[in-house]
Amino acid sequence: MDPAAVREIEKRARSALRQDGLAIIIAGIALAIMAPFFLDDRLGFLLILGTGFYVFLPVILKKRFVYPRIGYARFKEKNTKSWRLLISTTLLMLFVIVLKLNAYNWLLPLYLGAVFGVIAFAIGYWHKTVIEYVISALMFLSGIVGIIATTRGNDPGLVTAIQL
Amino acid sequence: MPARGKETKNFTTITDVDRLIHEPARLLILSYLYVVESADFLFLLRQTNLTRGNLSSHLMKLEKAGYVNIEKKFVDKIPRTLLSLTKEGRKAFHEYSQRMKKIFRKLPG
Repeated sequence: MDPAAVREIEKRARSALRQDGLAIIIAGIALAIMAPFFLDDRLGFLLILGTGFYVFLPVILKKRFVYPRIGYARFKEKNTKSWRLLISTTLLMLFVIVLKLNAYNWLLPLYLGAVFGVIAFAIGYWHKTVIEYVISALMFLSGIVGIIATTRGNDPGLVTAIQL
Repeated sequence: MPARGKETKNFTTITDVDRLIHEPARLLILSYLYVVESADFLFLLRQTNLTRGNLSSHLMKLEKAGYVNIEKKFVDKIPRTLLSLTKEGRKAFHEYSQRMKKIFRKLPG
């Protein structure tokens, strides 16, 4: 079959499974859970909680709400999605912790905007959906706005928390 | 061979297409099943916009031909009908697609 046609149908099939926006809503909630960590370093458990929320909750909710309503489809690259997600979020956590330890805190909003932007872009590319590209652009934009705010003397932790 | 005879031979391949796949609804069903490893009945129902009865009847025809595998099971006490293309079905769909491409290349216009 024509590869372009296959891609188009696959794109439609993948978009159909993500049309309820559940993954994006959960990502938003996970980021909101993580946000207070940037105001207070002692709240490190929130990073783990937010990551766990993002990795495991969609799987549970999809089984309970999405599949009975939208339907279920398994694509050929099974079992790799959750690993990709786990690896990318672990790397993100490590980078955040490293960044929190050094003296360049004022770069944090731009850094996080870039990291989340790249992750959203990668998810959009893998799933062939447009909404993640929009989110990616918004993440980069929030990073730029954040860096402007910190260079004007605002607390980087507060700016990052608001950004998330 | 005279040119007209060759032309006629080229177009006879149109009648050789797999008519089971050639039907629009079944073609749509197979296209979706071709890009996934498996999908359930509800997913196909929403994607194809066919009625339950229509989809069911087409799937039965495809299953009878050995193109589609239908597996009924319970997931957390909820019934789920999983559908997937068989090896034979995947091959038949690929051949159909190649043949149609050749035919369209030869068509005027």
